[in-house]
Amino acid sequence: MAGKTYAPLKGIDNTGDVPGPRTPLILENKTYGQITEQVCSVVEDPKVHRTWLLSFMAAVTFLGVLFSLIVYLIVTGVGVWGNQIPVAWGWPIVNFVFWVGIGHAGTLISAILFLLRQDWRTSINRFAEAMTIFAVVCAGTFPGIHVGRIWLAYWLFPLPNQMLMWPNFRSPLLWDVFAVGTYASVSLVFWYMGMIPDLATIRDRARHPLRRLGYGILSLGWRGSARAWHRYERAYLLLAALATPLVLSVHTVVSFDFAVSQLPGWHTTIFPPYFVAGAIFSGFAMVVTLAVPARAFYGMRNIITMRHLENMNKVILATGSMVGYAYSMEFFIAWYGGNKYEQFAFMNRAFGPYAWAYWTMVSCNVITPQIFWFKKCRTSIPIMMVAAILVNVGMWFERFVITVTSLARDFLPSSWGYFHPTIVDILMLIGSFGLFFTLFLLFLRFLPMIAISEVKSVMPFPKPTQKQPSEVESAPVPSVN
Amino acid sequence: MKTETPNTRYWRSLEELERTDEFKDFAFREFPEGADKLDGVDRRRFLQLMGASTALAGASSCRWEKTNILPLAERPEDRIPGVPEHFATAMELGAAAQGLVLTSYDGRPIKVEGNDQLPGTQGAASCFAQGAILELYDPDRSRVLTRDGNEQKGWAPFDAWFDQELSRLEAKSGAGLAILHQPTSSETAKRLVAKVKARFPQARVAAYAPVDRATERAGGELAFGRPVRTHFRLDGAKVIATFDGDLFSGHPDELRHARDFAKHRRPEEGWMTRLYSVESRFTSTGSLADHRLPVRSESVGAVLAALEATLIAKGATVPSGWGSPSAAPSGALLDAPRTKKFVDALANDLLAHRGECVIQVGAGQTAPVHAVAHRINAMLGAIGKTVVLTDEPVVSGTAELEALVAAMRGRQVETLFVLGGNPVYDAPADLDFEAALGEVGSVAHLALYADETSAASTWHLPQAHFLESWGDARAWDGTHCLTQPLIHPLYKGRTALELLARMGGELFADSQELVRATFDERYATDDSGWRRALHDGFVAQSAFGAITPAGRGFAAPSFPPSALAAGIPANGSLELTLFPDASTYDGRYANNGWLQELPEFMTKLTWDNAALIGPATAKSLGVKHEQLVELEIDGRKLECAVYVMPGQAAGAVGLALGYGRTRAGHVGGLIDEDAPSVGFNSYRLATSAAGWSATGLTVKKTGRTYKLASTQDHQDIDTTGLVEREARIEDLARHQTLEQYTEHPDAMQQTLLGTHYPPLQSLWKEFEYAGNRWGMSIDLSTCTGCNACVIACQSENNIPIVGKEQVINNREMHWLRIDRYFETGEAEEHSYAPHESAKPVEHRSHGELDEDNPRVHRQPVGCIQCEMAPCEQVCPVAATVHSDEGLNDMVYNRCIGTRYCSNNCPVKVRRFNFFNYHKDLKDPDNAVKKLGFNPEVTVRHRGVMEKCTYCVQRIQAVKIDARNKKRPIEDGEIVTACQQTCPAEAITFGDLADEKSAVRKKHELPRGYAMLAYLNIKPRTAYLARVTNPNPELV
Repeated sequence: MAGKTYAPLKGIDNTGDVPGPRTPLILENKTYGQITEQVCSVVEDPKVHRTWLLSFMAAVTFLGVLFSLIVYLIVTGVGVWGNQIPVAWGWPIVNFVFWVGIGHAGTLISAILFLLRQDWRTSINRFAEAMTIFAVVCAGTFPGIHVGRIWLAYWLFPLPNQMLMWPNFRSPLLWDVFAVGTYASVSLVFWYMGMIPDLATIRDRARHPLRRLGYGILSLGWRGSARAWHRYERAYLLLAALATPLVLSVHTVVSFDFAVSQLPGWHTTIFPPYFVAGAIFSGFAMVVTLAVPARAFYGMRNIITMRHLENMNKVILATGSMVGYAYSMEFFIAWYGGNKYEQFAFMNRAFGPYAWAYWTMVSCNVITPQIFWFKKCRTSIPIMMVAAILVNVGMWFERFVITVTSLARDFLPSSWGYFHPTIVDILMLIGSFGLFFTLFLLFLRFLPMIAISEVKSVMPFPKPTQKQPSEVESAPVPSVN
Repeated sequence: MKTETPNTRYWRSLEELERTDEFKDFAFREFPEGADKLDGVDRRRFLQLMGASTALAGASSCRWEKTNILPLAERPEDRIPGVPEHFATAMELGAAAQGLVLTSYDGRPIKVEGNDQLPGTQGAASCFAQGAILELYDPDRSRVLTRDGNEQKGWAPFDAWFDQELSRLEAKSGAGLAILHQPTSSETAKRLVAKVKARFPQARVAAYAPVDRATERAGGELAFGRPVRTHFRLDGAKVIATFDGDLFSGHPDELRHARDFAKHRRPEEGWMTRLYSVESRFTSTGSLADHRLPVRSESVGAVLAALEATLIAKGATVPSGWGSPSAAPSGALLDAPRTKKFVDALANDLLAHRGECVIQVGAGQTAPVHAVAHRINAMLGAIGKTVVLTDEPVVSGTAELEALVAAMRGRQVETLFVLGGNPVYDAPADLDFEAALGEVGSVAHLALYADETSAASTWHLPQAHFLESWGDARAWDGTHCLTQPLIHPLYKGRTALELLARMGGELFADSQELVRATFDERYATDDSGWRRALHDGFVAQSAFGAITPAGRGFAAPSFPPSALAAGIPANGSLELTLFPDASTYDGRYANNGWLQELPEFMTKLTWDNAALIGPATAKSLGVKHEQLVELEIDGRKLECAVYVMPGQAAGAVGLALGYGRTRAGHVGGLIDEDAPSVGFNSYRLATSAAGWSATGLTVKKTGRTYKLASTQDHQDIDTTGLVEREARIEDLARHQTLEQYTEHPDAMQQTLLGTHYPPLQSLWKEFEYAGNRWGMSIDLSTCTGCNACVIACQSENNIPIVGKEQVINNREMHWLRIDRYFETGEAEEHSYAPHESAKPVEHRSHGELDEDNPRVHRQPVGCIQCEMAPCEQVCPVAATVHSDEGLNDMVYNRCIGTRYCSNNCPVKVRRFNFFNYHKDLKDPDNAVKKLGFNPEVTVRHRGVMEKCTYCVQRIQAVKIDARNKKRPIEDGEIVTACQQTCPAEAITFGDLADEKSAVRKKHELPRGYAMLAYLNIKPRTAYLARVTNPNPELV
């Protein structure tokens, strides 16, 4: 097909589905070569962009803050945080759950949507998976440094030892170690495996021997033979099938940390589905938050189109409403269950000293996504950007509300307290964003941010049933403005 | 202490025999230079020191059989290394002795307990006595003599000056010599003072301590014409009425009161006593009362006078000789229906229980009020039955100090010896003791710490701690108690007795001889009698005999119109009440971290005192909790934080003494070294004339705030929380009246909160117990909230203190806390009343409760050792595990500090080492603190969770002994630290598997309940619901 040119699909609104021809997922009518060029050029560009550099420097600075604070923490003790009795888990656990939640979108997009044959996933899955890995890295940081004797944190793993001690298999924290560990490793493998053909493409295009060597090693000798593709796709399918339950399990198990305890406000059966919905919610919001600037900066509007963004906004609306439902169900069950301690836990959330946090959470998580009932809002870049950030804020607060308000006022009023974060708490949260963005910016610079081979599979040409772009152009697709 | 008298009968070396200068110097310092530095001794130096110590074993005159640091070739009798020894001794506080038994490990005392042979203590010990361990090993104690601030080499320079000064003064027959000592009941001190007076006839001797019972003594003089001491036999009293009473909080006999009172607060053990309290400050005595009337201190006497008049009106007759009481005072306060009803009901109750009642007036009241109380007691036939009078041997008050200060100002004092005490800090502000000191030629101050007075003195002399000293004192009931040293003075301190003896010219090789001389003089007995007394800690049968002095007429107390007015007085005529603090006493314990961090029972305040103002008064003044205000009375001003205290009488401002120290030490304040003062110095407002309370106080806002560290939320919280808290008291700290208890004894078994829960089933296989099942019961009926258990636990279990900042951060480490809840009746008024659905019986009887007259519920909470423990399930590393006897064991070595257990603990008793709270031990100066640790209990590192273990080390000690001797463990043999010291015997510990055990019986009482039972946690600690005995007339 090389040499043949097609009329560009610029200015097409692909957010609507009309009867007749399928709405294209990739715009501008590019050829395979152009797509490869478009994605690889970001990685191959010898010039370091000023904006990238400045962002990277900012991220590394915050990462440095995080690392220095971790050293300070290890030297001094966990008292540097605001944690106390009764609120023995504070921001570090809130941050952990927050980041694990963010880490949900990637695997959901790459595994569940893959199994459900949602082709639009191809434009964003690499991106989202990378985000997942980095979010899990951030998440993994916190429980590790959260324990009082960090140097003994490895006791959480069932390692043979001279004490002949197993960990306590009844403890949800141990389940957590397994769940998050499994999730992180499967996500990493999934992400990496999906990237192999693209890494090979970069290797093949590389001019510098070192680049060739580096990407050569990473692409594991990929030659693109039909047999390799066959094996690759089988493996991808299998991993997708393997990852799918993990998407559900990891946050279910994280929710067990709370649900299995007997603390009013934690001890509720609704937590597993509610946590999973919340995690997808926050994950998608994070993908939108990252995708919007990235697609603009790297000129990927034709690949991550408005349709993709709109689809994600729809997911945000759906999961946001589920979360809202869960919030109301918690209150209903507290009332209906007749347990006074539980009733108080929820009354206290809404009307007690943490009411400000609760209502921040509700407005960000339940009210904000409702604007996505309107297509205008779903397809407006500024609105979705603000909404997505608000959802991220709201979801952080959700974890704060669950963790801190329940602990602050449990059974014995004599032991009630009020949690005050310290400057270390605040800087560590910011620092974790530094870690996340450092990794993410490195990813954007050195790895293909779009799954090139997968995107090509949803372009019109390979499918005989699909019409040529020239014909699509004439279809009655409404144009933007 | 060693004297310079040659001791040639026994000698160790030729140098000694010849008394060379080198030897004198060597022997004088006892331990050669460097010996007191506990770290970094190399082998060579170690051997040198050992050799020196061996040589000194004979050379220096020791207080007890002195051991070497070499392993003993011959073991002293009964001393097994690692096995603790117990010695009886006594501590004197407020001129009354508390008999103590010290646990000593390898020659170092580590734990204070009460002497169970003495009727006044019966095994219990006050917080102050228990805190003595920390004080003994306080690195801030003074270690060197100073002259004009310059460190001296040993005692030699002082001794030289001392002898010279004494002989100079002796020539003038003591003119210009003055001694200021602490009021004491010590017979030896009395004997030695007499000797001093004999040698220096013109010397002035004065005694002063800011906290005394001078008005009580004066009241006795008014009523009987002679000073009397009043003893209460609360175990025989069916009606007790206290007026600004301090029966259970600050009275020298408080331990006995608590024990006797508790005897008749357990409804299953026969009749119940009833307690009325009229008071200004909300004390723990008032919180125990079945009926409480909050009025200002100045009005308390008026209520008492009104009571007397009511009694007479109702037919009581004044015994002959007492004169006729003047007409009852009247005023809006007394005419108020609430007061009238209270006085009326109390009078009826008293008349119905003649001879079985007690009227007690607190030390803060004036002498005439005390006299009136004596008359009422006489009128009701209580004297000789429930109220026993004896002679009062202790002279107290400010008169002697005032005379001394006048002499000082008149330059009549050349040399002043201040033996203990800290008058520069704690003398009434109007005397300006510090300025008067400037008029004195030389001042020598003997004190445990180089304090405010030391700084103003010529000489500062390190005092030996009472645990390092020989001495004696009389218990409140007069029993002659002996103080024997448990350890050689750590810093070569001397005692006041030693200095007095030297002044009196009494020769002694060993200060034991001083006490022995007193003993021999008083009791005709041989050496075995002395040994017996030392062993017991007291001389048997030495209590004061009861006296029955004849009463006489006296002028009726007069009350200013303000005392009879109702409502809140205007700002400017408020009342200020000063009172001894529960933590620092008069300030002497300001550097004791255990006591500073001990939450005062009513306020839960640590590390501070504050102006206690009632909610209504605070509102009228426009001040809020934690605001800084300026208190002004008679032109004297003090800036101070406000604590809005429910139950504080309208218009009364309470302020504890003993804070704002500037030279207490690194804990209590040492401004020279940038250790800020703790709290506010209320002595600046005290005058010698006004006594403990005065009117005319102005409260001015400063617009600034001040953070107070209380371990429990104060009442100033949101409505949601406030209402819920009140509602939950019904379920957590259960209580009912005697009437309800009689009708429905087992009503307390039911969950009162109406919590719906499915049948309790365990998710896991439940534990089975083959052997002992340890359990505890805590009786909420008898607990007085005295905090003795909290300190006992702290001392026994090496619990660190964390400091004010960390307490504010909710990180205090106490394994045992006493929860205090106010009941104001607000939960019912509010529309959101979560407990409305389930009330098995109408078990509440609030009467007229509100914020300004709440009821208080108390509940000591340590780990309740759940059988199905939530903490155990969630620990990922199995660091908290179940023992086969049902204890939740904490394996510190395994703990990695996830803190999940604390989150899942429904009673929040787990404590976490957020930091290394023992970091200060690394400083060589603080190494001495290590001596105070209990070697049986691990000192926890940072990052580790800890909690109450039911004193597992004590359980093990008994178990091991029983196993070795192949005998069963007897009931009551294992005693936890908290249980041991509880004066009210509220805590019982034992084996629940033993059907006959006391604890099992308590668990099975109808009022025994498990807290939060609906969680299916099966706690091993049962609470016994509080049963109150309100007067039906007042309900």
